[in-house]
Amino acid sequence: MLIYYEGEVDHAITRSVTMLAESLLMQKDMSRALVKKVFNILVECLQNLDKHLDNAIVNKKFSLKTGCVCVFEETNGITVATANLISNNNVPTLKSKLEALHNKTKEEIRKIYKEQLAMGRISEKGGAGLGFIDMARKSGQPFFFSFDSFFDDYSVFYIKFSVSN
Amino acid sequence: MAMEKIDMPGSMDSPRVILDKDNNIFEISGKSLPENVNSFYGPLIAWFEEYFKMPNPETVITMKMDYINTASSKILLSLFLMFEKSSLEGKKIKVNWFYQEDDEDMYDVGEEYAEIVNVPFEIIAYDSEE
Repeated sequence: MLIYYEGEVDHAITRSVTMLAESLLMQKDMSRALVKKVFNILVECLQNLDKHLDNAIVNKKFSLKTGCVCVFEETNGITVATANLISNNNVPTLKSKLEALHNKTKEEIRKIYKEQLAMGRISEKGGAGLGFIDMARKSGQPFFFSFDSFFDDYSVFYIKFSVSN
Repeated sequence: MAMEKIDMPGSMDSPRVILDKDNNIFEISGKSLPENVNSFYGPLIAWFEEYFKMPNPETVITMKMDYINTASSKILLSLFLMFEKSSLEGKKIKVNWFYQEDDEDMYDVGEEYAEIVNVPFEIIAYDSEE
């Protein structure tokens, strides 16, 4: 495990976690291309947590604003994974978005990216609707995701992207 | 009409920007993942809007990005679409998109903009050692 972070995510956290990851990977003599791809994925992951986590406090124990992210080394590369709570109302939209990207070829993802770039607008929260597409693209291999019901109207959303050496 | 130049040093999360009408230099370079893309790029877009009312005879915009997050890539597109509008109005505009020679991601980004935007776009490799 190279990095594990759990808690609220804001711009300052995004900046420190990504910078830390960058320097840790550099120390490991990873290629510049791989470090940049991991940096890319990590920025988008953290910005998703920053922009999309709801503010509502579920109960005294859990804040929807809390997410966790980890970066770990595997035999053939680096994996970035995040987990956070999500309201069940938001699951279907997110799920269909991710399924549309799942197991697509590099060229197909590039096409989806280009269409989304040319079409969408920046949302009020500052998202461009491109985050997951970009992560899938930078990863260049199938990603894993799941939604597990947690309690009441909430699920845990888990997603994991790997980048190979 | 004289236009105030914009000269901002780059930071860990925002690019270096020089917009200088008098010296005909228009350059954005470095990393772009600012906290709020709208507040970072808004003034630059407003500057160009003003500039294109009375631009120099030829405008070459140098883009030398090392990293762009997706929110920035979106707003850069709106900047390029503004160039397209002025270009279609007959103004001489060109974008030089530089990428480090081994950086295929930044090459791809440049190529995609070139495909989407109707403005002369040159994609140029530069040596990583520079």
